Amino acid sequence: MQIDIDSLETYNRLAREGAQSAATALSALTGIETHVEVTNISLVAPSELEYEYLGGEFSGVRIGLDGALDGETVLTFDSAARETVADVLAPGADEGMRRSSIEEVGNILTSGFIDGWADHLDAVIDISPPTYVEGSGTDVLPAETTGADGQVFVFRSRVESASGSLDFHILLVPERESLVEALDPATDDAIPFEKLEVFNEMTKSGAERAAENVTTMTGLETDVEVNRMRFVPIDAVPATVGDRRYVGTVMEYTGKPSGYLAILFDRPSAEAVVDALVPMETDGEWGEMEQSAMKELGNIMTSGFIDGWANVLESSIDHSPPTFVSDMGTSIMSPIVGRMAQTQEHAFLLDSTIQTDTDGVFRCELFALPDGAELREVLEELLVERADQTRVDPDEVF
Amino acid sequence: MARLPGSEGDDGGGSESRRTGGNRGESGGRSGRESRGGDGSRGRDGDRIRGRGQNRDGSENANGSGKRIKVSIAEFAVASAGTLTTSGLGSCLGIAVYDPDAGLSSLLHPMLPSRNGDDDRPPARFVDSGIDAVVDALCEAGARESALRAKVTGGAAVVDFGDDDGASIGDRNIAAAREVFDEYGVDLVGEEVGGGCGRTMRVDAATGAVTVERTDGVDTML
Amino acid sequence: MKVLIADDSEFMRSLLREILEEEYTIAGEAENGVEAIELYNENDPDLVMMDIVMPIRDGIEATDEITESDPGAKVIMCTSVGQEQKMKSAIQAGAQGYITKPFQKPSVLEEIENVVAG
Repeated sequence: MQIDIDSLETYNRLAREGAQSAATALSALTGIETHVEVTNISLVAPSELEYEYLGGEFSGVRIGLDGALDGETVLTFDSAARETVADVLAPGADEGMRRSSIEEVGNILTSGFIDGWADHLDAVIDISPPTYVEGSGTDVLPAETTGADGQVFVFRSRVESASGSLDFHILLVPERESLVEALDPATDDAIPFEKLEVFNEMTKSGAERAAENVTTMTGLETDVEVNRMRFVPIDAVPATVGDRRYVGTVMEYTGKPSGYLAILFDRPSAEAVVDALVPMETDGEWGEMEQSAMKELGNIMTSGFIDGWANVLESSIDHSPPTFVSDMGTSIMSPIVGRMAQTQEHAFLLDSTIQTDTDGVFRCELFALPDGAELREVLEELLVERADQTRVDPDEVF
Repeated sequence: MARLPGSEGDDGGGSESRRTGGNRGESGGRSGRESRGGDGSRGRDGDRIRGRGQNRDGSENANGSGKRIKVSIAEFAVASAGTLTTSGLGSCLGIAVYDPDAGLSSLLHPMLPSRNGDDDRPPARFVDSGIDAVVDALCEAGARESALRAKVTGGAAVVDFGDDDGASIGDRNIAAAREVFDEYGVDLVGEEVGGGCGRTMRVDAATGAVTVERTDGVDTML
Repeated sequence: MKVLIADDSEFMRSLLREILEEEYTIAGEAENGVEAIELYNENDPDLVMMDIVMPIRDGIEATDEITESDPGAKVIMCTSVGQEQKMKSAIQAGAQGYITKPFQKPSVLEEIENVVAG
């Protein structure tokens, strides 16, 4: 099973256009301006899909696709958007009517989203009647999807309004065989799907190593909650990371592949981590020793993250000393993306979330941006059978 | 299905807005019109121009002043009412070009200084081609080029890459903006640039008044 | 015994200092590879705890230069990097030991004993 990476660009564009037509339709229905914030293609383990839908109450529709593209599409409004849509379309109506309005809007938007795909494939995609969904996590995801074996490609768009009153997500999860047929691997430089999967798993094991290192250094229990590889238009990388405030470090790495790694903690987590390393004298004050501790943590996490790539590939990857950052996610990513946008139009964004599963206080995100052309080379050279050789004990070498 | 335009207080009402350049495909449906530095500013795939030249609901709504239009990286928007907004400005620039007489403003969020004549690349990603596109769009919407003024923010070094050859991306973006406006003869009437902090920018479309919020808590009116 | 610490992180230097100063004399702290070489030549330590990722010159280059001019030098790499190729380059540069961060105090002291015992 081969994947042509160039065709991912085409499909990302289709997903974006689909989301745009859904956004336009919703604006026409409600009179509220909406904007496609992010569109990307993720490669994730199905069990991790639910994290797209945690931390909020969502409602919307789920529809089955059949024909040129088999799979499922879920369109969900967050709770503010649900109120907005229902207030505009069914003002003062009872709950049943409000729900019906959500269903109908979801149906209209989803059709708009799918039309472009059918046009591109020059074939028919049949749409099942919508199923109303409500809740969070797996409540809004189809059981077949979350139970599937292997990793899945997920096309995802986030649409927002400036006031935050009309935000929605569209997720398209095509069945693997169906997508591979549609992706048309009739080119020489196609990459075996298995290698993408394996690389993604290597990245996850790197993130796990980074998480273990945090635990060793701070005593805070940690776990990798989400790990995914996302294919994103380069301009959209900062928006994918988001506007939240972060504290952390940025490293540049060189070798094969070269690229950037940003390790970003939300502010309370950053303070908790550094407090465990060096007692902070005042709240939120980042003195030299605190910054130094954060940088050293970044340094050690970076090694944990990229050493596995180097060991599997039997190469070496150097990284720069860490740079301390404290700002909005988008602001932190913009100079990195600015450097990369000089040579590439799309990027593979490797994104892992480390958090504590107990109280949810600790949260850290790793965003790795490998150079696109070098990553392709790496994937070509990657020996799948070496994929578990991520760790090397120095005692065996010395 | 009943439609009740403008029932949402904060967002209700319509005014002109357009947005281009967010995403590109191998074949952008570019208009044939040439402006300095090439166009490619409109009609590309993905982000279609919305409500170009007229209001979506056909009326200039009195409460349109509450409307907010978000602009992402490598995009711009033009509006006559409401607030144009962009956030997460790091090394990128937030550029407001406006015609106070016509009551038209634009907000552009470019990431790099120069498109270097490569017309396949999205214009709004670059300071030079982005400003060209914005000036075109403003004039098409009824602004006079000679009346245009500009305000610039952003261009920070949020991540300190010690080994950048000479100036940071942010510094080069700022220099490019000054140069392009100088060539146009457009007065750069306000700047809040450089430093090491991210910024959020808001432009009042009717007047061109700009508010800049920095992540270190310092707010500036331009 | 005199130990030189070379690490660009102030935080890591203070951590190593705490571990080492109970049993050893600290023969200086370097923030980069160039300083490490200079301090080695000035203070003639018995052992160097050498980070790899450092500005100006990295720890492998510094080790290479130190063992070149003093073949009897004892260097333990003390680094976050866990890449096999890097470990091999460290051996080539003349390092006798390798500790990966994050480390525990006993493993540091044990590795020092091993290296000093030869």
